[in-house]
Amino acid sequence: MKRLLLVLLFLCVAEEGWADHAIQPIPRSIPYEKAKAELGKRLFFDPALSGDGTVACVSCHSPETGADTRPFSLGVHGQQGHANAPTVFNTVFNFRQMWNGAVTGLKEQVAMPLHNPIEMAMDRKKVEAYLRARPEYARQFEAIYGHPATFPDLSDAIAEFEKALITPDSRFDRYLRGEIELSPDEREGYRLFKRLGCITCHNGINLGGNSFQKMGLIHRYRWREGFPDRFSLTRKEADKNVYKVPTLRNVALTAPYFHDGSAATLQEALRKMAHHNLGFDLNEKEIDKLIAFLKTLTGQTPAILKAEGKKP
Amino acid sequence: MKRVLSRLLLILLAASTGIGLYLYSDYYLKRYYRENLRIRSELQSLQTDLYALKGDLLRNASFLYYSYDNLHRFVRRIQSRLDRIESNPHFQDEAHSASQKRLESFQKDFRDYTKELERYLSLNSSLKNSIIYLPTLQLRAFSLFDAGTPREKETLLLLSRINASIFLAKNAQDTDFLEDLKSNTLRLSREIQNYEGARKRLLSTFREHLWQFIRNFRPYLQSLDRLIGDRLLQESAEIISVFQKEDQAQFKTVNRISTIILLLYLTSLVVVAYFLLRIDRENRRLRQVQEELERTLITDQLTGLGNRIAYRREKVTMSDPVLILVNIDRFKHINEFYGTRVGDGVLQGVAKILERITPPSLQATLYRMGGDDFGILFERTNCSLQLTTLLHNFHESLEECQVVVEELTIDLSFALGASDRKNWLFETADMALKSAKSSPRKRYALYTPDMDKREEIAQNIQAIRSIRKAIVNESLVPYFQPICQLSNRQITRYEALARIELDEGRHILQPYGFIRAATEAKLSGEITLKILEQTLEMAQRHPFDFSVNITAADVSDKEDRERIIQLLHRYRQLGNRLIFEILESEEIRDYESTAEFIRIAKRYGCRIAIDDFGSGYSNFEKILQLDIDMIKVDGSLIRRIDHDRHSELIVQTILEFAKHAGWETVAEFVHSKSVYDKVSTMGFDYLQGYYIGKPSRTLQTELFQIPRRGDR
Repeated sequence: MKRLLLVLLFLCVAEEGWADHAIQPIPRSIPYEKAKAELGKRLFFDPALSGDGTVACVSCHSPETGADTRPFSLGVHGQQGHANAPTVFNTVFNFRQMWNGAVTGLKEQVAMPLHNPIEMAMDRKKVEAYLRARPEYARQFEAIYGHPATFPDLSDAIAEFEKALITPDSRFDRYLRGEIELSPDEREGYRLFKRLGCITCHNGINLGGNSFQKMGLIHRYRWREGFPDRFSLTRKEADKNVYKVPTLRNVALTAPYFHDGSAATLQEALRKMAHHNLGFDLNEKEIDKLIAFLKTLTGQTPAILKAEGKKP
Repeated sequence: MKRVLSRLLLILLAASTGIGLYLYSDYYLKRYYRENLRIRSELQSLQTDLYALKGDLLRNASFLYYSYDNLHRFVRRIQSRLDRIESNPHFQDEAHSASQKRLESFQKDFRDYTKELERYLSLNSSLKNSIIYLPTLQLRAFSLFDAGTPREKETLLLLSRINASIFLAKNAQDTDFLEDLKSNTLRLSREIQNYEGARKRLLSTFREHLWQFIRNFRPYLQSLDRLIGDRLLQESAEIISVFQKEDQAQFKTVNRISTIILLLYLTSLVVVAYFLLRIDRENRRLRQVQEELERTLITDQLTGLGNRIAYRREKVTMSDPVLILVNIDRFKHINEFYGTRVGDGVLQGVAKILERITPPSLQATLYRMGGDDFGILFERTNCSLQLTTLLHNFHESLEECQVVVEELTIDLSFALGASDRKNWLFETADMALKSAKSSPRKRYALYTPDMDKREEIAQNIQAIRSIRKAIVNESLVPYFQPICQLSNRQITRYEALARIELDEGRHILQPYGFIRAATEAKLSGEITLKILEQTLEMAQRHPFDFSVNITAADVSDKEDRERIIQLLHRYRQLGNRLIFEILESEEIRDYESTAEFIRIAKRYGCRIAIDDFGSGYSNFEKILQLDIDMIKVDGSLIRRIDHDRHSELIVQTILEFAKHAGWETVAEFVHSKSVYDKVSTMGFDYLQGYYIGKPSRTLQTELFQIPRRGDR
């Protein structure tokens, strides 16, 4: 029995691991609880959850890209944050959340911007009072959780919604599944992506989101106090400008780039990365091919957002 | 009732305790094994995951680029396993405290391991990035440097040597090559000084990546070593072995508890069984008591035979029943003479006799029907004899038997009545019995329809009504029959006979039509008084002797006796002309009161006659004790005296006896000339009968007025 289990387990691992050993396609769907996710969606779009009623989750995580088009996201009372909001799409595949990986799960992540005084600036009590005062919320929370809404319930619902925010069936995923062929440029771009070593960090389902790496390995990247790096957590010198590797999924849509939103275009982002982490400048041809590849990473809009209009 | 309830409650309690114990032990054991298995399998899977993680790490190390996702997945899987094991209540049990401690330290080590993994991934990416990029840079160098010039050729060769060393170092995972690389890096630094522009920039970048490799290679290898080491695996193996050891100890406890529970369960079963048995026993006892009671209800306690109820029950189940009733003659006397104790003994003895003499082939059931009546009930088909023959046999057997009670030997005689009339079995058998009893010679009888006394009973009731009416209406009158004195052949005496005149004298009711019923109804005293009074009135007017019938019952009743004496007193001047005829045929039970009356009557000058003397009932000794004046010889002896030598002898003996006793003698039933002639010569003092004269309302004074043959 035990041996059989072992064999089965290895078989599973082998199957998961060997399709492409560096990059895996996004599954077409993953199981989630529909009612909770729908409630989470409603909450995700609700600006009343912020201190001054102006900022919703969706304010910085656009329904089109999951990311923020502004270099630095804006919080309540128009306060500017220290980072460009990372995309909320496909976050379920990340090993940690936030730029510095401060939290592991989606549920824990939800609390961070809500409590952050320059983001949404809400406390637990205010959120709960609000959720219980609104009949529609009160009814739904009662129906799903069997008791009046609590803050963990809110996190749970939003996390469930975020689980559903996956963007499957990109050209690249379909290529990985053997459904289509890439164009010569795209294929060349992928080869470059590997040959230049980008893939050493940008691997896995999300092409990133599974390790911490330093920005400016070869040529030092400028550093400023307040950057959301590992240093902000560990205060170790070596952790300065060390971030969770951002995903390259939908990267063509999520400009501006980097934690500080300093690259407005993909060209610029590629050049900067090449300079700081390869120590070399890419030529135009290389950049075009890489961009051609990166564009194949654009997936479908998450089904839960397509279901009924863009906003509830 | 309360006891039953409490016992029931006890049983329920025991049963529910038993079931509860069983369920608890079942639940407890199941839960124990289930949770135990769960933890064991989690611990085993933990090891499997650790192996898988290690395998994936090695793959990561050997590839230049490889997805990190699986590593994180294994980490998450292991973490959730640890959480599950830790939060399992079974694992939290005190018995597993050593395992808990080990798991705790494992958790801590695993957290460190995760951090190490993150560090490793950063190192890995940087290192591999450089390893990948260095050959790319060398390729670029080929286009930037001129291999024709010795210096530049030397530079290209240096880059090649460096890449070769890196290739070796990386694939051998050997830090020995780092020294080589370091010296080559110094040479490269010197070379850089010789170049400008793009060439210098390329070499600088090359050197930078080289430094990256040199700097990170040793920590990379160390980190990898730590990650693929066996520490966590050993720890998890230890947890498993410690857990199993603890489990064995706990298993013993669980085993002991379940044994105890099993014993308790069995005990409760025994308790339930005990109570059930007790209830069963009690039920059986109750049933016995009930049967006993029922038997008592239908059993005669004295003889052990069935009683009337038993008889009735049995009878209805039979198809062709025959009932023989057996009655002990004069049982009342036995009771009075010897006392009821002996009487009871007699009854018991008779029951035994009946059981003995009843032929087994009859398959008869014996009953004591009440008093001294016994019943023998059987199916007609079981009896091959004629019923009368059977009765005869029974009677013969009974007559031969004697009953011995308390050393007294008692001779008994019996009367038997039998019937096979299913519908009125007892009633008709009783009629047959009565018929047998009423006859002095016939001692058994089988029911025949003419025995049916129901008509007679109805007549008696009618008669009693008539008597009552007659007494009220003064239609009860004396008829006077003349009695002839032989010495002077004159009528000197009349006997007053009671008659009821109906329809103003057109119908006359004879005394035997009503006297029996009257006696039964206690009306005979009344009749005697009425007749006596009217006779005394007649005697007042006519100078003859008058005789009046009086029964022993009349004089034994104190009230009646008083009234008779009052009448005598009123007509005391007539006393010497009055004769009381005491009926001899009747049983004179109370000789005392009879003697007393005779004494009083004699005081008024009355004379006493014994009526129907010689009818077979005479108790000479008793009669001799009474102070009587005359006897009237029974008509049955006189009627045929003219041709019956036997009767003549008896009458001669009576006359002889009377002469010696000093009694006057009267011959009754002188109904013909030949009887008249006969008795006239025998020495009688007086003659009476239809030949002398019939009874009439008025006094007949002449002899032989209506001489004719006929009845009295």
